[in-house]
Amino acid sequence: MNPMRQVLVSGLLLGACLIWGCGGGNSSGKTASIRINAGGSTFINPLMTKWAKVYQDKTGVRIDYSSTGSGNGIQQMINRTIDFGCTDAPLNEEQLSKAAGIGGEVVHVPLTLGGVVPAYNLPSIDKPIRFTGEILAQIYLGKIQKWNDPALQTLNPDVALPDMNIAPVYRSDGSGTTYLFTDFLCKVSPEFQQTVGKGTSVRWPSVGIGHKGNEGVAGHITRTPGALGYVELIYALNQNLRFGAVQNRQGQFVTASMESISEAARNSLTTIPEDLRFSITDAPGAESYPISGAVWAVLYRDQSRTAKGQAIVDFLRWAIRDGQQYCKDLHYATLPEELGSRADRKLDEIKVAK
Amino acid sequence: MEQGLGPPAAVLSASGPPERSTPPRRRLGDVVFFWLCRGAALAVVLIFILLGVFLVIEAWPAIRSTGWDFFRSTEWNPQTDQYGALAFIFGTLATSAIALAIAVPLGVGTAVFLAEIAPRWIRTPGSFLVELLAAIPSVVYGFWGLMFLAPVVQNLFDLMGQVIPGLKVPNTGGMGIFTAGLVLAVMVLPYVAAVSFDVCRAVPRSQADAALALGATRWHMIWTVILPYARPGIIGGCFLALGRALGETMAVTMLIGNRPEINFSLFAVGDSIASVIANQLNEAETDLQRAALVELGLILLLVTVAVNVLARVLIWRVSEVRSARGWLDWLRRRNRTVLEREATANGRPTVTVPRQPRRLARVTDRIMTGILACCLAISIGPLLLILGYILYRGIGALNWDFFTKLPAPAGEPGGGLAHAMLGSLMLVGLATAFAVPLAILSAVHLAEYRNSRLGPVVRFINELLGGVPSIVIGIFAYALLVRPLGHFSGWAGAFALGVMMIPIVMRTTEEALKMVPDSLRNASLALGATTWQTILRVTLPAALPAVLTGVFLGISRIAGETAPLLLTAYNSNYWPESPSQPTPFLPYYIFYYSRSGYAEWERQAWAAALVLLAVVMVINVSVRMLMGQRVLLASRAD
Repeated sequence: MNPMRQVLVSGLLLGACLIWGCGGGNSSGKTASIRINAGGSTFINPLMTKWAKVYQDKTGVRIDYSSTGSGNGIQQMINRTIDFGCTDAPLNEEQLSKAAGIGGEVVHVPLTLGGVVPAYNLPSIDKPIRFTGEILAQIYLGKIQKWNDPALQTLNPDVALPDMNIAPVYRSDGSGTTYLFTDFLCKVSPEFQQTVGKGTSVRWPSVGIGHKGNEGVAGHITRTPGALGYVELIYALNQNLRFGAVQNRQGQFVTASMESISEAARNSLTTIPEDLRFSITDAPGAESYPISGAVWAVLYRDQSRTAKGQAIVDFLRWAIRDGQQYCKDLHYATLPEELGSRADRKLDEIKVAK
Repeated sequence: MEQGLGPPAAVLSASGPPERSTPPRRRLGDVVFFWLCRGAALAVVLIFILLGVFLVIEAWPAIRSTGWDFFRSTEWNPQTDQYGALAFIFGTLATSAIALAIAVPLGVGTAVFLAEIAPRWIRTPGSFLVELLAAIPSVVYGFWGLMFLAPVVQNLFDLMGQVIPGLKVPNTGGMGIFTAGLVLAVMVLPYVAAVSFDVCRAVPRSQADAALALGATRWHMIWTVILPYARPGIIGGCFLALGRALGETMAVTMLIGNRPEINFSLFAVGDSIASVIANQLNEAETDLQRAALVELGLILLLVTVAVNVLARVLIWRVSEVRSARGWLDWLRRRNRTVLEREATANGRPTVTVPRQPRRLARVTDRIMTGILACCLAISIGPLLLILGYILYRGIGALNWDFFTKLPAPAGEPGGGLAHAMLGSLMLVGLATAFAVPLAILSAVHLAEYRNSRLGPVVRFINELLGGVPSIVIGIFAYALLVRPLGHFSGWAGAFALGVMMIPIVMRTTEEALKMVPDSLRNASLALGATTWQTILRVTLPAALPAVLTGVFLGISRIAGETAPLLLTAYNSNYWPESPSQPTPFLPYYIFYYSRSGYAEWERQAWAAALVLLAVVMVINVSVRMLMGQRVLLASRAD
């Protein structure tokens, strides 16, 4: 009966592990501190982990953030499985009406800004290539297939573009990055608007390759000469990808940077609607980078069901005020002062218990 | 045996012939045990039914709105809310077909070589290494495929383009259906090999020895005795592999190209069902898109049903020549007709005893031995490449902090993933505690109460459960345990993992129990043991090594699982406090850190992959060492 005993012993060991796992954790976490569950956007996760660390050291409140994707964050927030969600694209009408049926009105609080850049792999070229929205649209529609296409060449007279096929790469997963990129292309190219449209996942024409995540797209660009893809600025900077300048509404070619992204938001302030569900792609202003966007925290306006309401509001207020100083080191663009104030006023509207 | 001698006929064993003369006197223990087993089997059926019901509920908006067009259209456009699944179905079937076409011959060859030809010093590490292939998480396979295999394939294609004039080779970086199929083949190979190895070893030695004594070469013996005998088990292993291939997500999504279209070219890119679910479910914009993705999961389920029905028909067909004896008869008949034909052509009297020329037989034997040895080498090659790569990337990032600290913010040095390791341990432990008893009891019901009419149903449903992609199980657990309770929890995660583990443990346990010779059962019953005593003290212990193999195959499968946990355990950046809270798990950090873009996080991702693999390896080695002796004992009992 020896083997049975072995099974018994290993079972007991397993049980002991479990008890230790649960019990041990319990004893260390007996501080009964407030724990806010949040999740969503993968884009903001590095900044959010930084915020969570600093904020916990300061106040003892723990922000438990999981980067499961913007869409998932919205859905979990609507279903009340997390306290607030983070998303790169504001809720659409369908999501708002669904939320209205479950927990009422949803508040959008912009937390930080980011941008999307056209990155490429052309080993022979070290000057940044200039793109226009129209040309990017033509490439992704399969109309421009060569790097030395006349349209691209006339835009870049002092760059010797190679006679090489463009291998476009896009995000296969639903993504805020895709949302920003297609939102911009739709604004500048009626044809793109007609055939593809904007969204977190779209039906691309039969060109190119899809990859999951920024890293998938970036990796493909690194490995494939001739590839062109769109990635978040942070990603391009951290991975040392080459990326081009994009023509903005004023006709200027602007390279993405934290300043030019903040500038896009600053120049759009007059057009930002009351509910803060704004789009700052193709923003006016000579210095504005045209493929810019925000990350919002989204939550129900009525937080009186939970005791954590005040803690959530306090954290978000800290994030859009003192928290902004941590943006720069991590290559996030800060909110312009006035947008911060408007976000602050939005937080006042949230109904908390007491 | 402290049990007194009871009348042997008092116990009605399904395997023994029922004695009609003395009515069976059922003991309370037996009745309780029987219903315990039956209850477990019913629970598995119930889980599956609930899974189906929840899938249909979640998918209903899409089913109602798209109707049959879902199967006819290749148009998948979230912007216009049009959803057609044909391209995804094609991609899934194409990659699985490529995978099986490669993995089955290779896996069976490897298994036969290890079981029958290899000396002990090759067999033990060899079979261990092949099994280790099953322990590598899907996401790691994906990375290896991306970094290593895809460029190789692209170069190969480019070379083809140069050699064959007029052939237009697209630049996809090696992505495509072919590459995805190749990686899938490596991933499912251990399932074919491990099961085939076990059943080959289970062939009675007397049969093999008899063939050798009659003058058969070793290859001849393998071909005429071992393989026919092991055939049902091998087919079982192939379906295990097919189930895995159909539902495989991460590796495929990284390699297939993610462009939903139907294209039969060798260079085609495509998309698979599981891949599009993983890509879009978290970010679904409309409820209809989400429902359509769940409907895809439902289709995957239906495809596995179709495959399984086909499999049953196939097994039923070959069962005619299933026994070694039947096979030998068939072989003799065939040889005789050939010889007779030759004989009449020569105009000489018929030869009654068929003989192969000795020389030819010996040469064939050598060649086949070489080929089988090559199978093993090819099977182990990718493992060494992958392990080497992870070791190379991960070893530098291992330090004390990694095992003791919580994660540090991006861009800051230090920090660790201690909480995630603890959380993973907790999730896997809970899942094992939930799944193993259920699975073993159900398997006992299948193997020991063979007269039960429930048996085939449970077995079939278990096959189906094994084919459900992990992300679909995630949806199920989410709908069952997360949404109604209103928060994410370790319980839900453990439940999802447990559901994934049940089919693996149950199948291996049943196979193992069937291999236990009836003589053992009869001996125990004859000594007066009751049925439940016989099962718990004789049958199960004899089958224990194979059962444990199944348990650990199961653990290694779920330990690296990511997708379902995102929907259930959700992850957390703090110590796991109790299973009712969101719970951290290690694969999440492999998944997220490896694509974060921050050097420090990326290093930790590889370290995490290394740790995960090391743990699985340690488990496997210790099981081998502990159970090695048992394997010998079990075969001697025959």
